[in-house]
Amino acid sequence: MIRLVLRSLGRNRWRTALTVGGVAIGVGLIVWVSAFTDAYLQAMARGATAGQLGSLQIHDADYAKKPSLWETLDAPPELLDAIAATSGVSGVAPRLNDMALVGHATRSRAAVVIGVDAVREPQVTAVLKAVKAGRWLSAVPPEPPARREVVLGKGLADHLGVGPGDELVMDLVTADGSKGDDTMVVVGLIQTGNVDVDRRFVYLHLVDAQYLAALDGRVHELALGLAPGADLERTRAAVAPLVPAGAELRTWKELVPDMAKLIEVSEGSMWIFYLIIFALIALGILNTQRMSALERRREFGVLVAIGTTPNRLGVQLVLESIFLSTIGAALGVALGAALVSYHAANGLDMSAFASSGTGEGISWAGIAFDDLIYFRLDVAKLGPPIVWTAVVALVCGLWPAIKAARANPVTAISGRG
Amino acid sequence: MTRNRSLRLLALVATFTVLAPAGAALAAEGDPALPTVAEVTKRLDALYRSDSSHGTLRMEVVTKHYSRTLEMEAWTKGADRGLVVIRAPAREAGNASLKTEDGMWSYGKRSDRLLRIPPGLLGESWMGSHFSNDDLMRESSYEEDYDTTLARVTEGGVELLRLRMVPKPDTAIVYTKLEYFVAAGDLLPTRVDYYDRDKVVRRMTFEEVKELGGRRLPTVMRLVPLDMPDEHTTVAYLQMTFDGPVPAGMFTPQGLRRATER
Repeated sequence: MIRLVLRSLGRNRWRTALTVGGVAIGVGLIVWVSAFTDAYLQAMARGATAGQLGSLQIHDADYAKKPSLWETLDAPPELLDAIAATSGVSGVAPRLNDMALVGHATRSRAAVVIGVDAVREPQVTAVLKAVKAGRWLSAVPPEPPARREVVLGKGLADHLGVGPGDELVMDLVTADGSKGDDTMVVVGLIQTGNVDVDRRFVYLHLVDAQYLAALDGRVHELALGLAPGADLERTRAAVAPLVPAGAELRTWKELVPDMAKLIEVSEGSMWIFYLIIFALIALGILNTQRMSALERRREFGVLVAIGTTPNRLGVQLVLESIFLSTIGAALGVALGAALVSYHAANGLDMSAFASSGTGEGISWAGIAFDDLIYFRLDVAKLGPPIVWTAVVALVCGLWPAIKAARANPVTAISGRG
Repeated sequence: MTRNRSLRLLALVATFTVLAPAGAALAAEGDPALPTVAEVTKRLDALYRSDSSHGTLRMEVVTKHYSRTLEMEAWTKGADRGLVVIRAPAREAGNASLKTEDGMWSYGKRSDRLLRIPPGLLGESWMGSHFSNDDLMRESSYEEDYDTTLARVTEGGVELLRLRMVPKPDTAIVYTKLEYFVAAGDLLPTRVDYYDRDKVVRRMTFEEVKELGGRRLPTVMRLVPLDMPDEHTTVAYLQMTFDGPVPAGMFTPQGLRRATER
């Protein structure tokens, strides 16, 4: 029976090859697109949380409504330690958020200043990984008269023409209207893939930022990281009792609701795409099987005439259809998996899809990512497309099979039916 | 007609030296007594124009978050160059702003460096006040930037001339229009209303007309952002010298350092 099926499929090699190819491309596309979507959405969520946001943030309630230099929090070390020790929290980073003019006598740019605790900040965000030249801020801020340290976004550094070791002048917006200037030394450059960060952000030691902005001892923000595997909402509930009066605790989904919704919608809408691809595959198989059944009407007539039961004939045709599709699907999975593995190793250059090829990464919906996104080959996702294709093939093979099985051998052989 | 351009730094009243001369008689019809824009600006020009100036001033800034008073010394030369150095209070003394043909810089005593103010930041606060960098340091060119019409108005029984100035298309002016009011008699400015669409968003009033540097001028300028009516910046001119010798070398990094070290 199997040999018969194979022989039948081998009879019209071109048609078989085209159908197998069509199924393979469709299934390959599904495998690749599903890996791409995962990588893309993960990059977005990572861009949202690991870059700067953290998973949870605490602000003064007025700051939460409308960020202002003057709406600050007191963040004593005991509070930070207590939050950091809460279950589900990977770390807590106190920050002072300000603006500054950054540059020198010939070039300058307005920058976002983040005053950070050099040790606590990397426990919340991936900032250490983002250091592409030089180093991160030293664990202990250097005492004056040593220059204050600054780490800046690579895009900003390129614009200003400075690198590690170079001098930089900063003039911070201050809480009392006085001048917040000083000369600093660039110790490192970061490239996070978040275009906003890379072109506009400057990291200082918290104490330096507090001094220059005339906000001694104050912070604007506590960013909390989530421990691997920890549940966001459960962690939020655990931290809530520690939040000082007059302050507000929010998750990243509340901080960037558009982003959270976008990820949700994107995940949910993929099934439409799969449906379309499977519909196309189904039409292809149906067409092939129907054509092949029509062409071989005389052959079927002879088979039935010499004693083949209609059931057996039907089963043979359905098997042909499933064989055809499964081979195609297997090829497609192999093709898709090969492509995904390639992009897992080398990344996919997204800059080709960005309107402005700046080489500084791309930004979409306010969230930025690297030009290159890396896929992950999820073996568990390779099986279902084959199974689904087989199911589709079974359904599509049934109709021509039933038609052929019901044919009257006399009219079929004479070619009049 | 001379090129009526001047730096607004220092004598804010000097803004009037730059009103559009344009040549065209823009008088409202049916009022033969109303002078043309050109005539008004020519008279203002005679009153306020100076090739150089040197003076001291006091600036009081009151905001919701802080109040501060600065004493400053300032120099201008020609249409392009200006230097302002803070003299008091002690902790801010030595900070400065420099404007030349090539741009604008801020100088901080702590950093001892000049820092260029990029064009995109000219709208930002100048020294923590309600004035923008642009307000004080922009090289104004009203004949190029505005269409001006003149009208006679009466407010509280006082006769005023109103110069309504609408930015020409393609100029980088953030206001929909400006309305300058000057006294009908001596042409001294009384106030400026800055409009965003149909709403006055900030108002500068001119007060305390006095003899200063040989000229009769309003010596106090008060700027109020109308969305925050409790806040204001008030600049009072204490001393002024017009057309005195001001060396060109003042407006260089070296000149600035010399001036700040005094």
